[in-house]
Amino acid sequence: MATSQSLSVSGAELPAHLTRFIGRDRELDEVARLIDATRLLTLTGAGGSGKTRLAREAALRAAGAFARFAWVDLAPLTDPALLPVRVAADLHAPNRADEAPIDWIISEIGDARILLVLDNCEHLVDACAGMTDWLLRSCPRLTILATSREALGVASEMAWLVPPLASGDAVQLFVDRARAALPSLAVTPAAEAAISEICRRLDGIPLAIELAAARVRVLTPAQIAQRLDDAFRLLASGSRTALPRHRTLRATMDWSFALLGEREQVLLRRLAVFAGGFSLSAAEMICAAEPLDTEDILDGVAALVDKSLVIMDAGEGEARYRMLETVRQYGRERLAESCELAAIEARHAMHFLEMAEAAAPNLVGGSNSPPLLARMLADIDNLRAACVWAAEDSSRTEVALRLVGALFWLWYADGQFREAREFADRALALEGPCTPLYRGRALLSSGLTALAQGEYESAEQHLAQAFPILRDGGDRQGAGSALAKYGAAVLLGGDVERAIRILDESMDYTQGWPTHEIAVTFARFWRAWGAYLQRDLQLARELLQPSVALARAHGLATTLGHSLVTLARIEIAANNADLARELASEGFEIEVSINDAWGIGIGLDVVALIAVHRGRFEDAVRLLSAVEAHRRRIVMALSGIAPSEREALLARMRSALGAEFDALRGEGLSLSTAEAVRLAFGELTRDTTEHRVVPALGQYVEARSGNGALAPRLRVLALGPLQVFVGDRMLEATAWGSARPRELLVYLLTHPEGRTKEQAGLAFWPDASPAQLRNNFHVTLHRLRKALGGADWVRLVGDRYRIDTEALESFDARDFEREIVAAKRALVRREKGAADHLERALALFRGDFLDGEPVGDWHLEHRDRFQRLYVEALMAVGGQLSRDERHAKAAEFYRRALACDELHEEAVQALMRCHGAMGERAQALRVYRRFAEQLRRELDAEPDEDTSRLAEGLQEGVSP
Amino acid sequence: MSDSYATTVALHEIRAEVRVRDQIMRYSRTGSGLPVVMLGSPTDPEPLWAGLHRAIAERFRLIVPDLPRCDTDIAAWLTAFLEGLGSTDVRIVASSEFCMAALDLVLADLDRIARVVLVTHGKAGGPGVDSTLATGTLRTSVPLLVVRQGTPASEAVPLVVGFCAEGAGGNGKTPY
Repeated sequence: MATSQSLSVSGAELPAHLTRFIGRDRELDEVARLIDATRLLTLTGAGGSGKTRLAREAALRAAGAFARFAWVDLAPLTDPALLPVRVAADLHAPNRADEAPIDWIISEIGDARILLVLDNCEHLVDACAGMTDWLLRSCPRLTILATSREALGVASEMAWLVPPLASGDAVQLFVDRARAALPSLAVTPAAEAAISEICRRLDGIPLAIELAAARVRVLTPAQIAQRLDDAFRLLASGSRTALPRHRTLRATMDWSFALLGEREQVLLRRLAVFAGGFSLSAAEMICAAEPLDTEDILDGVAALVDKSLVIMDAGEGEARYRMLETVRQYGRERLAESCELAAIEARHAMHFLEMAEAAAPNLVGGSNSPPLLARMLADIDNLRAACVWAAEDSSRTEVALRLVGALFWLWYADGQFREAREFADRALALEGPCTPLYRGRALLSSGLTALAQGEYESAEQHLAQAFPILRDGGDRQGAGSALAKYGAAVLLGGDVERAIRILDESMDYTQGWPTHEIAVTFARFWRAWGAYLQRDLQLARELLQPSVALARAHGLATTLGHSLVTLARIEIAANNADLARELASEGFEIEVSINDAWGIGIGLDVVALIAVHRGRFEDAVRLLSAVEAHRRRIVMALSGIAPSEREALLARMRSALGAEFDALRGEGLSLSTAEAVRLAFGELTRDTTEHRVVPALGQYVEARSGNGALAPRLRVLALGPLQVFVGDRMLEATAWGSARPRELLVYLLTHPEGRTKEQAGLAFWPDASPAQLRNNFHVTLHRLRKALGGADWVRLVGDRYRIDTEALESFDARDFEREIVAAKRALVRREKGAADHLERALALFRGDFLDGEPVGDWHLEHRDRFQRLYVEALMAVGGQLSRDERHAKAAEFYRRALACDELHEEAVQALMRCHGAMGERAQALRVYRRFAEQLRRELDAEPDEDTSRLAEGLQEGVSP
Repeated sequence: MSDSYATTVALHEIRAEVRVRDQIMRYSRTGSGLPVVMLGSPTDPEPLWAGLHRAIAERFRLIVPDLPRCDTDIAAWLTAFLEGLGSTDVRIVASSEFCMAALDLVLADLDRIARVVLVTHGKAGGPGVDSTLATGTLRTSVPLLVVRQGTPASEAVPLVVGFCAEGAGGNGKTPY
């Protein structure tokens, strides 16, 4: 799984690079030729020599010659035992419970012509050597392109040392990267000479050149050249002789590191603890310790991005950051030297443990919260690193077992049962002290994994152990789930009588609990399954039907899908084919929409039975066979039809179809899951006029939020001094870090259709380079989300960011404008209520838009518009009051209009008339004189004729 | 089913290539673990050499390059070979004819070489290394073990294997 922003090409997830690839034409040609000529090409070279970029570009060029290619970044992987699991996952190779992960890969590749790119192999050379050797021998048309500091040493390997950049390319790279940092950089002849010297001094090593180029904001190329020269002369004992290439890079890294402030140095080394990238929130949680405060982290990360030591992947939603592997290893080395490694690793593990534990209740079922799931999967490498760290030492037993307990549903959703099992076994084997409750949860997790893999004996054993521990530890949900699943393990293991007793006990145990609790759902579902196996169909129905109603009410897609499909199975057994088809249609659509592999399997079985019932034996054979293939592809063992029943059905089909049977069966076995799903939908809609649309999961998510889970709580007052409330709490200045996040909030609110980061960047930082703009935007966005405390309130839709309307309770500027519009509409239509709308609008206007806030020019047009509307409203209300002959009151409104716009001549006239009508001629004339003087002073103009005539009339005693 | 796949590499000698600039360098590799580069032929008639070859292949990642003709600068060739191979924390075991090249290599690339074993002419207990070698050894700070070819394998092999196994992890700094 790609953890950073990635580019999908022919099924491969390639790492995205925000910077331009420069030069290397000759090398690309050579690598392309070697990819074609060898089966294992390893690009070797020191860190920073450009292996990954070259491999990426070469892979893109070579892609056309292959049926498929896959990219696997091994840098975040620390455990060599997980190498094949990782490769299988990135190849999307299905897990199979009864096979080793290497065989999943072999089955996936087979004899297809595939280019597999293994990036960053150096820390797993032996494991990579073993795996590649085996794969190349097992998959005759596989080609592997590896990048590694060290050759793998596998038969027929061609290790190819990536050469330095040619001098012209090196200069071009420097200029390109320097201009990203300082767009105004002028490459004068003198600067060009200095740049050439820098590139020569840096041996054409791309990373070294990029690090040097990032310094042009504070040093001229000549200064950089001089300082590098000084630094390197020291290293070479003053001899000015060339250093070995790997030492050149190290020297550049040292130089770059030394130029950092002390706090940045501390931050850089601490950030190296992350595997596969990090969010700013995680960096704040883990890296903020003496001498760094939480507030330092944002600025520090931004500074490191500016210096090319950290890379920002804007991605979707929240920005993530990462380090090039070479920089990360350098940072890690510094971390070890600082004696902070153990403490920071522990903080890292504890942070991700807490994150996993916080997420776990919302991931039950594996697919109930896709946005949360996506956030967790973005940190899968960090979670793995935490697992590896925890399992290393028995003193960390409790952390390891808590991780096992917390991660089950994430592994379930990601289909990583092998990994789940391996880590659970390692953690459970640790003999350090641990609170029994955590051991109980780990046993439950391990039991659920075994159950899913069809290892019923092991599942039974772990779940039986888990139940009393969880019960005694006070974890009611855990205990209830363990007992129900214990019954399920016994049931699926074939001992129906004993299973029914356990499941009855589980029903009793959960008696009276709120029906939406997962333990209740498990108990009812498996007891219903038991009733079905005993042919007590009525009991099975009675147990499942409340689950359907409940799942609908709470938007529990997984429960709804499973219950409907199982009910359909029951109705088939009861000979109610039409009802079965109806139930299966809805249930199967849900299973497909949430991509629940187990649900799809039982759904396919049920549709096959419907086809049998309708006498459509051809499709029945295809589907029965397809579901076997589907089950083989996934780790889930349970099918919707017992093995003996399946055999009997197939025998019946064989007898009915004769010679045709074998061909149909072969056809079914070769169907992919997607093809089988299409066939099943065809069967379900056959002979009906129904055209179903597969529902999006969003419907279920919305159903849940409709239950009040997401109450709008954000209130923003921007007409006047800015005030932001979350619930009843006003956010103080300290909550924002700076004024910019507040400004971004209002900016997005004034653009409800959303704004791209480029649009926001132009409004906020018009002089910044594109790289700075992206970084500034994401830092500000992060601060905004943090201040609001609800990351989801700023949504990314397409490429536009906007404030979630569901979260917004009120925004005074928006409400003000709506009232004005409503008032105008009422006036045009001569309807009542215009005055009320205007009064409400005026009540909202506490002052100018963002009055007193240090904001950019973007707000001026909005400020002017709101002010104009406000004055129009005042004039309209004043006019109505004048017509009602409430002149004193009307005069107040005209004065308010003039307070906003002293030269509003219409307001001057209206106020003069008011005073005149009230017999205050002198006052009216004072208004006129003041206006005329101001007009002359500011615009060198005279009042309109109408105004002057009005004044003359008042002077002469004529009533206005 | 294939969980034992990782062991297959260790069991067989394999042949592979390194390409550095326009030069192709071939080598054989056996075993896994810390890299040990043996300079000398596995078919060397000297019984100690064959014994060392077997013992090192069982414990280490043994790399035996196909060395170029004698008129080539062997140390320069080896420097390029090791750079292309990318190996670090390397142990060099050199037979007598490559002892000087091994020492030159150490001086050219101090970061990459962790330990050196020189298997020199002569019998155990005989006079020490010759003067040329002695000059070379004085200039390097890398741990060095000198073994005489005539030393019985039962004594020399455990000594060399033990020496090579020491100091794993090098200087702790990644050679970027």
